[in-house]
Amino acid sequence: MSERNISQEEYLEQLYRLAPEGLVPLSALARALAVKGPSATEMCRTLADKGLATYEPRRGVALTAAGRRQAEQLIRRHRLAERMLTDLIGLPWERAHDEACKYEHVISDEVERLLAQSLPDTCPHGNPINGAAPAAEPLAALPAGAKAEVVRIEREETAVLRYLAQLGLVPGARVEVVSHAPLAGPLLIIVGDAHYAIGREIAERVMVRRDG
Amino acid sequence: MFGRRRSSCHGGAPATCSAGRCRRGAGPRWRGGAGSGAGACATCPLSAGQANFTVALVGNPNVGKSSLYNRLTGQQVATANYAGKTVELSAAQAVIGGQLATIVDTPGTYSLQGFSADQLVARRGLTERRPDVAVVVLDASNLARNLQLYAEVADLELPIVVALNLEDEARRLGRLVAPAELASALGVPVVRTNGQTGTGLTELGRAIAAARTLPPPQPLRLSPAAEGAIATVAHTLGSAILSAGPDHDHGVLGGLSLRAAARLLLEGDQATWDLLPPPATEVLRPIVATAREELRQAGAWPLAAERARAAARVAEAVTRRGTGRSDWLLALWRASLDPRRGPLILLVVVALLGWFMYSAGGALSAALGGTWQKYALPPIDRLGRWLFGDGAAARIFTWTFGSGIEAVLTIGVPFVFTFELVLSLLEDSGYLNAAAYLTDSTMHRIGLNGRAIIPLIAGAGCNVPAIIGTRILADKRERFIAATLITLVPCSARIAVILGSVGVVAGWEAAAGLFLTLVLIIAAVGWALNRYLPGETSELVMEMFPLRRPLPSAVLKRTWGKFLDFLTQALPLMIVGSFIVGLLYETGLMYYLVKPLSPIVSGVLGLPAIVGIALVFAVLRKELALQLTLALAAMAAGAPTATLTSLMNAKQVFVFALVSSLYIPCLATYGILARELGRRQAVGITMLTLALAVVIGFLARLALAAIPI
Repeated sequence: MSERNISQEEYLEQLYRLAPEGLVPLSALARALAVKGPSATEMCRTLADKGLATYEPRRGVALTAAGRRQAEQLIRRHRLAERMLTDLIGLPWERAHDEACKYEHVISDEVERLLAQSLPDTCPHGNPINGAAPAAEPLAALPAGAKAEVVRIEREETAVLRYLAQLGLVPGARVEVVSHAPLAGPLLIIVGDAHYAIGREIAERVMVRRDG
Repeated sequence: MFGRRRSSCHGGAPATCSAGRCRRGAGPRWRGGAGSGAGACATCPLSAGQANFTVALVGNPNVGKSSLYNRLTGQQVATANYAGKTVELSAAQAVIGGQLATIVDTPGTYSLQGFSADQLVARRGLTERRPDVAVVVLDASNLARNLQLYAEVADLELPIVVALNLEDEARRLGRLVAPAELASALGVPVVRTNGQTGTGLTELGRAIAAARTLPPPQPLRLSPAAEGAIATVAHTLGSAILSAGPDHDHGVLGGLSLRAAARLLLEGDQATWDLLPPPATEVLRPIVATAREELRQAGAWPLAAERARAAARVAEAVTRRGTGRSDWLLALWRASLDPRRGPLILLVVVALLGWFMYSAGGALSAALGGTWQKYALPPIDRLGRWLFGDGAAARIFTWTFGSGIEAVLTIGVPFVFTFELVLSLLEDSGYLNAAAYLTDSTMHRIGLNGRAIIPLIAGAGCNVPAIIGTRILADKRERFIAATLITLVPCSARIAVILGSVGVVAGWEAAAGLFLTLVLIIAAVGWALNRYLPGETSELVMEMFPLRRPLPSAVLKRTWGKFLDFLTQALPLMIVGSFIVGLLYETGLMYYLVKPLSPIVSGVLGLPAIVGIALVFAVLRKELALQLTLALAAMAAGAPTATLTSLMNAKQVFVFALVSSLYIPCLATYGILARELGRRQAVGITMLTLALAVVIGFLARLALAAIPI
């Protein structure tokens, strides 16, 4: 089976999403990008050589300030591309994410500046294009018994995004974690009067603000 | 060959239209979609104008639509306490308010902009053929979320009757909904119903009949910003599609009202955008983009959140909250989902299930077999002699009606009955949900998510409905993996073969070992498919329902129905099969069939060549594998009471049961695979199982030869 060819830029973006400041275990990075361990190791060495990340074998990899800046730029361009696709040509917003993944790598500084001037300052899914995101943590990080409010949905995929909305898991909704299934399985949560089981990977993308 | 009776194992199917294809005959799509006129499908009550009006039942998953449908129409659509039991449109006729009506049952859905196959089916039930009345079934214990779907249905501008269902469940959880207040808040008639006991059904019928002449209710109003955006898009859409020509008159787009179409366009529903003629698309794009932007600025986006808020407002206003009863079932439910106690409970449930099947099925089998041999066999033997004299003809008669029926009584009846009983209990109680939650991370390793555990377990009853049930899975890759694995799951017929052969000859430990082998094979095949098929597994998102007490009458009724269904199909087949085998044996023709198969059957698998005949016939129905082998053993021994051991030793019996479990799905399963996945995949799966059976059978033979017993 041939492996997906993953660019350096995608590594930077993924590292930023997993932990903008901290150390990311290589296994987590490889899993998030669906690549094999050796490929991830090799790329992290390359990133370290270019001064975009620090790499410590067996401990993990962390972005440097330069790497962080580049990742933020990519994410900004991604969100601008989403905006452009939905607002200017009417692409349905749940398809914008996948399309924008292609555009983000080809937008130049000048085009970025012009787009930013003519488009609003949030992506179609409610993520801010510039500044930092409001303080939030993934739902998956909440312990059993914790209650929180949904702030936004990150890295949304077409079908999942829509399904979560149908279940009432939308920004502003109240959510309570009942338990975590064994073997890193799904979470059992309460939204409104209903219980739902949701996969861990999805719960990683539901950003919430914890009570108290 | 599947013209009349498509699914051989499951329910006496009503005129069921599945995903647009009519079950009865290879007729055209039921709404005259692709092929010839709709009227050609004469047996389908959906197509012809026999009924005076149409009623569609719609609601969230697991709110009791199917129970109400069964009550209204006297049909037996399968029900269970989990989401996604109904995956196709069913239709039947009932007399409502003195007039013949077609009642359509739709799969449960959270929204009409569904993305999975079953949700699109639900939408079609309301739009492809607009019903005269939509009955929205609401779960009183979860009104807020249920009302979100109500809001979408109300947008379609159909007359609506609300059936307020599951009030007992709501009371148990400490919630009380006031029907009169709900009725005045929504502006529609609200009827309290109980699908299980049948309470409120008369009132529901009366309300439906009266609602036909009512104007459609007001839509559930969203915030002013959202209403403004919808109105703007609706206005442009109205003029755009009216100017596009006569195909789009009445301001209705593909069965949608103007308001519903405008809202779906705003929400980016691809199916609705695809309905637009190109010029209208051009006009609408900028309008929709601007409207969305204004919604975002106003904090009224996404519209799903707006609907949730509007629905919650209504629900709060009409619901009183008290403290629920804390009964043992709720406590058990919490325990079954607990990360520590849950897996233990799962193990206990699986062990109990196996033990019950083995002991109760075994006892029933012995009792029935003993009775048959003592009281029925001698008279049949005498009758044969009296009719045909001593000779081959009399012997064929005894094999046909003596051994043939005995095999059904000792294998089919006891194990099929016990299994259907246990599965009914599991489905009705809702425990399968907890199993899905607990096994999700394990299932991911075989390319599926926890939701697939439900069809996989149901496959142990009968593969056919289980394969239909894979429609609840979101994508094609998962459906293919799940369907392949389901064909490897031993159904009740194959369980009967295993328990009746290995269990009897070599004891329960050997039977348990065989089941374990099958589980390992399923896991290995799943792992390999996941590894080598492109794509990845979708994540679990599933509503969880509290356990509820199974209703004994419903469980028994369903078990009995499935059992009778089995009997009416198995008995004639078995009698004909036994007759043919007896004929082939007595005339010596059998040995012409034996020869071509013997290189594989004896050469590779090390079984008596004659067993190959049973394996060939078992493609019709899997339990024939053992029943015919027993008949063959009786012939070989020259006595009708002979056992398997006169034909094979314990090790051979093990290999035989393993191979007959794995090789080629039965004809009904093949038929449903071809229908659901296409012929190519069905042939592929069949070949895969055949190859697996030969390879695994050979390996098992080698492995067993190495074990000294």
